[in-house]
Amino acid sequence: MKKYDYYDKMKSDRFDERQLWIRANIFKHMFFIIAGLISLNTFLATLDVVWAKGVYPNIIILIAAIAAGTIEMIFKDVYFKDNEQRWMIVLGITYAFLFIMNISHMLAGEKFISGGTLTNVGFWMIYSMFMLSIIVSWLIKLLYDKVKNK
Amino acid sequence: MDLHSHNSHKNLRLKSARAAKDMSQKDLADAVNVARQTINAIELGEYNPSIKLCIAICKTLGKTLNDLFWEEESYEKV
Repeated sequence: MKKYDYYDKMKSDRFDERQLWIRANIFKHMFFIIAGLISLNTFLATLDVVWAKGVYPNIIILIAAIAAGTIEMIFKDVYFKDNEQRWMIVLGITYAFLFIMNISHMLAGEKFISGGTLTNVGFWMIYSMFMLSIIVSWLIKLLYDKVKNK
Repeated sequence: MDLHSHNSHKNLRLKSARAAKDMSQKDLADAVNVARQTINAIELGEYNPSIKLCIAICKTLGKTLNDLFWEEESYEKV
């Protein structure tokens, strides 16, 4: 059947109007997550609670929002277009490796928290766990779609 | 007001027009350049498409906007 080209996609080649609308809502959710976590971090700072030093708190706040938004996109089918999913396999292996490395550091005696503050190992552990949660969500969605389509 | 809010009225006319042309949701989605899930959402009444997408669907299925997207209960001649 001849493709009807009257409706051309909006600015994005990857997503249609409904998907773009869903993605916009998800980015809105991510904004509120970041705002909430920054507010919480600021409140803790006023109470002299330093749970992580330097740039670690900001990076963790960002990665938490990114993970939440990405997982929502995966479950709403607005993250990937066609064959881009192979990148998840690469990312999965990378962050699984990072996670295992941090486990080995901790088993060798390095601490997750020291003096009430997150250590370097603790930071990378949290970072890799957030990223792995994205990979796990993708795998769950993949399995669910396969079972549903049977 | 959310223009694309949930609408509990399923679009059965769209579904039957698509079936009459022996098209799957994927076939129709590919024809009008959207995702299959979008066609599914339209048929379930979970998404209100833009007029541009409505027109594209109508032209693909050989129907008019009235045939597929006008409200049945309050049909008026325009």
